[in-house]
Amino acid sequence: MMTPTSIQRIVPRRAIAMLTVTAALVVCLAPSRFLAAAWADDPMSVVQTTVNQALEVLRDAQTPLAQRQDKLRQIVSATFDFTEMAKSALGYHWKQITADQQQEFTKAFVAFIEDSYLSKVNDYRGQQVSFLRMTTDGPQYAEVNTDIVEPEGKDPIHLNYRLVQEGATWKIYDVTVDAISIIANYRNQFNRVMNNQGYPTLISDLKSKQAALAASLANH
Amino acid sequence: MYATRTTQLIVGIFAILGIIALAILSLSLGKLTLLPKPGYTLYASFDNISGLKTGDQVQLSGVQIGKITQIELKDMRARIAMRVDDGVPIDKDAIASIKTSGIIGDKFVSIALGPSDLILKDGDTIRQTESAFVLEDAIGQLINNSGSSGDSKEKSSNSDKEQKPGKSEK
Repeated sequence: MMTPTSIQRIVPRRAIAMLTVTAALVVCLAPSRFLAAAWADDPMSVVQTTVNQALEVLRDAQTPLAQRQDKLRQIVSATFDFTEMAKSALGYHWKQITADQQQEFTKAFVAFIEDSYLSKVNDYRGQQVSFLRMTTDGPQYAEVNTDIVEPEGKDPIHLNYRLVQEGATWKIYDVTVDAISIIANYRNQFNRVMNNQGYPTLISDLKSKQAALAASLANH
Repeated sequence: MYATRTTQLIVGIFAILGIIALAILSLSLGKLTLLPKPGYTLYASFDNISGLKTGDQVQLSGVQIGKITQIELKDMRARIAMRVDDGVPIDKDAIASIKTSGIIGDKFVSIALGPSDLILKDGDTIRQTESAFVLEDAIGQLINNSGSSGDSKEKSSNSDKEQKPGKSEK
């Protein structure tokens, strides 16, 4: 039988020290690497977590509306890349406006999008969500297909989330509703306004629409 | 009386000119070109192309910039190849949508340029796409939804309070 002394004789002291350090590093680093990988490689679980958390808030009729809206804002902003969505929605005009205008537009667009979905909180009527499948497009892009199952036997609404991997996390950059892309839709609308009236009209229209939504939210 | 050599030559020239004219007419009627316009090929995948055919137009701001050259089924999605004219830069964030000219008109692919500085090269893929809007599906959905909402009006009055969470969420 091999005693500790005999082991030391076979394996030099330096090698044991190196092995110990390596083992310690593996033990320390493994959990964080494992967690990062688990978080990064699963766009489906990102969508499921976000949607289920949002549904929980929508169903919670006991909590005051303002608190539910705040919760929803936190849940959604953690997964949606609104800045990238603003840039993409403006299309090639993004490169034609100044850096200050880009900042101004992003702020107005993000506020508009947030107020748009927050104003729908009270419209929830018990819809369920079925998570159908996930497809990947290379290592960086994925799409998660879901159905919103309407009560009362209505046809389901096909809602697909498009995600991009940013570092260790997956972010949603577009949503298609019954095959109509939200970003493509905004891009076409903004393109029309930019070509016909220019940036000042676009930003003032966007701000006034957002102000109207914010006012209706405050009145609830 | 035999025709002179000059007459034979004139008839020959006219016959050749006639054949050339016929060939040009056939090519133009068949929308064929002897030398293809210089361009590059881009690919895009769609869930539904709903009747888009090879030879249909690719448009940017309503102007034709290319043609659909190939359509195939790949991973249960429609993958199209399009020949885009040289000198028309398409960026990596561009969106390709299938549109219809008029209600029952021809289908075409419309490109909306994005904010990226990265320009796609020959053989690249337009990642962001928007499938065709199918009018029949929309009408069917409208009829179904308006019909069923009337039938179940009474049932729905209590449904908000009686939600059964976790039926289909995972």
